Amino acid sequence: MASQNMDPAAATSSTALKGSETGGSAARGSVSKRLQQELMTLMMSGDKGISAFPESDNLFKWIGTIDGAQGTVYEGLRYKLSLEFPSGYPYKSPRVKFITPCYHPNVDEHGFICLDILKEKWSALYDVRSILLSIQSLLGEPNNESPMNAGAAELWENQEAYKAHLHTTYKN
Amino acid sequence: MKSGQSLVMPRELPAAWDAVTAALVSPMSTAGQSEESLSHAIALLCSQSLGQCVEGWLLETMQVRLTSAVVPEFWAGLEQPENELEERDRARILLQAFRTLLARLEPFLGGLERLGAWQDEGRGGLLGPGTLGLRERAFSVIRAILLFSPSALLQDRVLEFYSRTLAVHMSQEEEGGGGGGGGGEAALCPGCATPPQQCWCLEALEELQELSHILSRLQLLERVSSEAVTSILHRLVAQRMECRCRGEYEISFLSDFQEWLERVLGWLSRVFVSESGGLCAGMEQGIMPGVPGAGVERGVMVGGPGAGAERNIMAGGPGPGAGAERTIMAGGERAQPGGAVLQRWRCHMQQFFCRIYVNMRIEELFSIIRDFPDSTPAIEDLRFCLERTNQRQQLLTSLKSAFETRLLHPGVHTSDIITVYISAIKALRELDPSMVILQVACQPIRKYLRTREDTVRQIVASLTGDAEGCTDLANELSRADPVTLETQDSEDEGSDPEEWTPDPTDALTDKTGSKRRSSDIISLLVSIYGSKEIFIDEYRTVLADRLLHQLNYNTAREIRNVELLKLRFGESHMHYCEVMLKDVADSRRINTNIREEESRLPEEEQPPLALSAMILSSEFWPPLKEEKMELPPVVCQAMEAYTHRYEKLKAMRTLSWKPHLGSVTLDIELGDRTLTNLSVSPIHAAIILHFQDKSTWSLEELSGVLGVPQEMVRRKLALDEEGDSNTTTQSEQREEKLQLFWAYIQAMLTNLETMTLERIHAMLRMFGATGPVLTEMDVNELQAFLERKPKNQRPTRITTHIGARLVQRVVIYSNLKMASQSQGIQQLLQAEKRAAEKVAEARKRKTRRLKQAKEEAHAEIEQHRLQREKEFKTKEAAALGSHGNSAVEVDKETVHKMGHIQGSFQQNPEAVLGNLLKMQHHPRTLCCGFRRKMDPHVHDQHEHHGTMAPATTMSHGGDHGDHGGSDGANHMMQMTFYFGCKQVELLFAGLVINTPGEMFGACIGVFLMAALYEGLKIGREYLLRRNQVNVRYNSMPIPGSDGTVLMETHKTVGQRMLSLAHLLQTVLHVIQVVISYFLMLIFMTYNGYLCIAVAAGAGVGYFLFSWKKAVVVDITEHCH
Repeated sequence: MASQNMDPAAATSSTALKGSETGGSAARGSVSKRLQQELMTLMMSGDKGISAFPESDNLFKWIGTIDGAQGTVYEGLRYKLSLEFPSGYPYKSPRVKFITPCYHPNVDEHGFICLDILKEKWSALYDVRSILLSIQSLLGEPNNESPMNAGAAELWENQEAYKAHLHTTYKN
Repeated sequence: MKSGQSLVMPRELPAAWDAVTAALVSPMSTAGQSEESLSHAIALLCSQSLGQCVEGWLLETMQVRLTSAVVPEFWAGLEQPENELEERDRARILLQAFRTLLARLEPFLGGLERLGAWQDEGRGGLLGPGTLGLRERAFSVIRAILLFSPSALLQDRVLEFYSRTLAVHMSQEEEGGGGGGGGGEAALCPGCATPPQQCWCLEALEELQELSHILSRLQLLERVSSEAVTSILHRLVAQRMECRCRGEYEISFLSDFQEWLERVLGWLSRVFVSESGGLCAGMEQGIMPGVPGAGVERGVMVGGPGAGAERNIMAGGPGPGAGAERTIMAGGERAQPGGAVLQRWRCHMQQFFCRIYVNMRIEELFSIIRDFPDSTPAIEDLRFCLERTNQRQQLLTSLKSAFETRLLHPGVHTSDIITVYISAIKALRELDPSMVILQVACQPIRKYLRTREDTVRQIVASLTGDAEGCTDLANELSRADPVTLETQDSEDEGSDPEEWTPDPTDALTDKTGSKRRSSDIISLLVSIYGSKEIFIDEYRTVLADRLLHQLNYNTAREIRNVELLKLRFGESHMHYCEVMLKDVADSRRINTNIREEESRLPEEEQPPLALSAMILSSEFWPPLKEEKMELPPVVCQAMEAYTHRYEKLKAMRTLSWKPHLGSVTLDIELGDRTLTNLSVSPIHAAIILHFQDKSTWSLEELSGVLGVPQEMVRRKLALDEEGDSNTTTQSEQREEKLQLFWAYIQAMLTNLETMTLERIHAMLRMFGATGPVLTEMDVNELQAFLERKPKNQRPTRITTHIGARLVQRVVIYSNLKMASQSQGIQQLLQAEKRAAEKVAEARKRKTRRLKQAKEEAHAEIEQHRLQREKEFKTKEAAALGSHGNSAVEVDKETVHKMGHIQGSFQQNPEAVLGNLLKMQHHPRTLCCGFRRKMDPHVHDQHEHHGTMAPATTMSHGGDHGDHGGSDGANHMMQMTFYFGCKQVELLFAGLVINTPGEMFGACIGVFLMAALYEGLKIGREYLLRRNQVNVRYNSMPIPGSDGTVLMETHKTVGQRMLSLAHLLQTVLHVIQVVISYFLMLIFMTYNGYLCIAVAAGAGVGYFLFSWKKAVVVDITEHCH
């Protein structure tokens, strides 16, 4: 499991759906267009607690921000993520990882996330907004069956202790 | 020769001379003498060539008399009375002085006359310049001597006297013209300002007459009086202008001035009459005072009609000003034939009047323009005068600055600016038909209007006659013969070349003449923005608003407006508007159709409510406001039915309802009364309908049923009528776009932390490009937008205090706007003042805020710093523990030892020096150890407390410095060659060279070492060679090319690892490497002596040992 997450690029390349090999500048142009569109949708949606924006002039690398959902132990914490879009996007999944260290059963110490829709279940229909929303909900509902951070998965049972530990380890 | 002749007739000649001179100087005494004897005497004198001398003698005598007696007497007479005298007496004395002067000079003047007459006759052969020449010379002499040094007193007196007489004259004129002056009698006489019983008006006039006569006799008139007259007249004109014309724009002052000027000229003619009249009529007759007076009266009478004619022309319209002028001049000439002096004065006065009138009007031009239609006379006067003075440039500058200071600031409502601009167009069109002034002066207004947001809206509103109080544009629009905006550009080609006039020099060169000359108000207004599309779009919005608001299909007025606008803007541009109007007409038709259809239905199928729709072609209408609401089922059904019918009527088309637009007519039956024919908006109607079913609704329920946000329902319930417009206006659309931008910016700031404004702008341009494009937004606009955002909405750190400041500014601005909206343009000035105050206040508040924010920030930073410092201290204590203490201890110890050493040094320097040399490296190693221990920690600190890092290193550096100090040696590594033998460390800490002797020893050692090194190298090689005893040489015969056999020798060296020889070689190699490194290190001290020693050693060693090598190297040599 861990090895799968160590190299997300290799993992995602096997799940590419179709037309991913067109490549070239034309494809890049259309990807830019799609990303612009997504940015626009994200801006228009006005969802609370999630947001993302291209990091610099490069439209293919975004910085995202997720606020821990209310009612979960992550409430009040804010996490930054980096999103990198391959040139085959949206047929290839973007590489998403936490920049802010995140103590979570499905996130390893490097910030890599084990989330099915970022891996084998990726679909071209997902967009930045749905990714961010998924990650936001993942924070509150971890998949303890296949933990990357076994300690966290064990501690999850004890929410109080988990919260305490979470807050001591949280660094922004 | 002369003496000879005098000898011939000595007796007759003196007698003749006496006779002639007596006849010239005192004609009375020689009256008895006959003309004949006189002629004889003259002939006698001439025959003796003494004729010339008579003339010289006469002038000489007169000059002597003048200098010695007459002139002093005149000045004495003038000054004799003290200042307490009354004005009347002063006048009398002035006159008296001149009288005396005349009396004294009279004999000479008579003599001159006679002599002149004789000369003219040529009596007795007397020759000379004649009467005129003589007079000329005599009067030059008089003027020169008398006025060589005129005292100010004379000027004062003359000035006073003339002012008085002018006053008297004017008051007489008034009495004569006005036929009354009853008010003046009770108080002081208007002329001489004395009680009536003491009035000396007539006397003054007579005195004036006499004085003028005397002066003109003496030809002093010009010199004595013109200055006084000029200053009097100038003062009078200015005074008159000030009290009569200032602030009065509704009357033309030109004709008034002409009348007045004629009267003043009457007085002038009294002053100058003797000169003009006297010269023509001869000397003696002119003395009678009545005659010229009558002439003046006549002149005025004739001049009157002339002025009247002028007035008529002015009133008649824009007649050529030059024509009017000609009339005046003609009148003047008729009145005063030969009055060249008067004519000159008249021109002068007119010029002067024009100048100061223009000056005054230029100052007031803004007010004149403001009052334009009423101030037409003032404008016409100004134009008349402006043509005669060269003050256009002044006018332009002053008007421009007046606009800027009085009109173009935030305190003025846009509609007021537009009104003033329209008046300015009209007024300046009158003032300057070439439109240059208009174009130049209104440049600032146009520029400013461009920056106002609501300019277009205001202009369109006034075009359609909606704006309250501003009907100018509507009238202008409906004017016959409008200038089409398309064709105006090419008008120049068609115009007659004969009528072409060059542009005034102050015209702007960048515009074409044809554009400038377009004086059409609407085209000027429209051209503010350079494109009519903006106006047409705005008009479309206004039109849509109006049509949707009325809902009564009555479009007569709109059709008229559209037609008129079509004439202006061209058919194609108004196409959308036409479609809109057609939509309205179509809707009406369809409504009737459907209504008819419905009425044919049976009773039970009749729809419950009469629905009439306005059917809009969505393509052609401006975007409509989107609001969602659920209508009551009854209405929905009706709508569906309507749609159904419509679809039947118009195949392939359907309706999409906009339920929130439109209006509902209701009858409401309340408990006590019935309200009928209420027109309410659909949402209100829906709310009321819902109350039919249930008497109490909560806000939530209502909003649920209506599908409208609670906020909206509350607003509607409060009957808030602010949401007037049905269409989204341009600014609203823009605002929406801006909101989206706000979302972008928020996202940017949440994700990317702090950003500069420029960066935000660049990002927006990059990523917002596909969305609602706001490419025209520049950085400043963005800044303004960001600063409009209230402080608390801003997520991160864009200089928040600026925001607070700007929000404040906006508030102030809106206040001002409200204030000035209700006030008219009349109160502009007050608004201006208030605005200035408010701005000043705001500025004060702003600086206060800024200061406060700064202080807060400072305090915060300070606090943060302290906290961090504390944290660091505790951490340091925890991490360092004993190290920190040890450092302190080391310090202490060092200081202590230093003290000890210092003490013993005093006692025993040599011994201490040795001690010191031994001790020296002890503290240093300690220090290094401490450093090594510290370093990782320091590094750690560095990472976690960036701000504290400098402090740490600083203190550490201090420590280090202390130790260095205690060493008393500088450990700085020398990085350049130097010569010296003090404090040179040689490889080992204990080996410090301090004296030249030591240095010499060291050099020898080093020299030897270097030489040894070379020797070692060669020795090793030698050993190697010696050990290779088992070198075998095998020679092989090789056939040469020429048939001979060459022997090739191969050597094979036995190579064994574990041999004694190899071990020895290894040891020697180690020694060689060590020595070579030592040499290198010695060289690295950069000490010149040591380096030389190294080099010399190497050289000598090589020289001594390597000569063998040359033999050794060539192994094969001796094999051949």
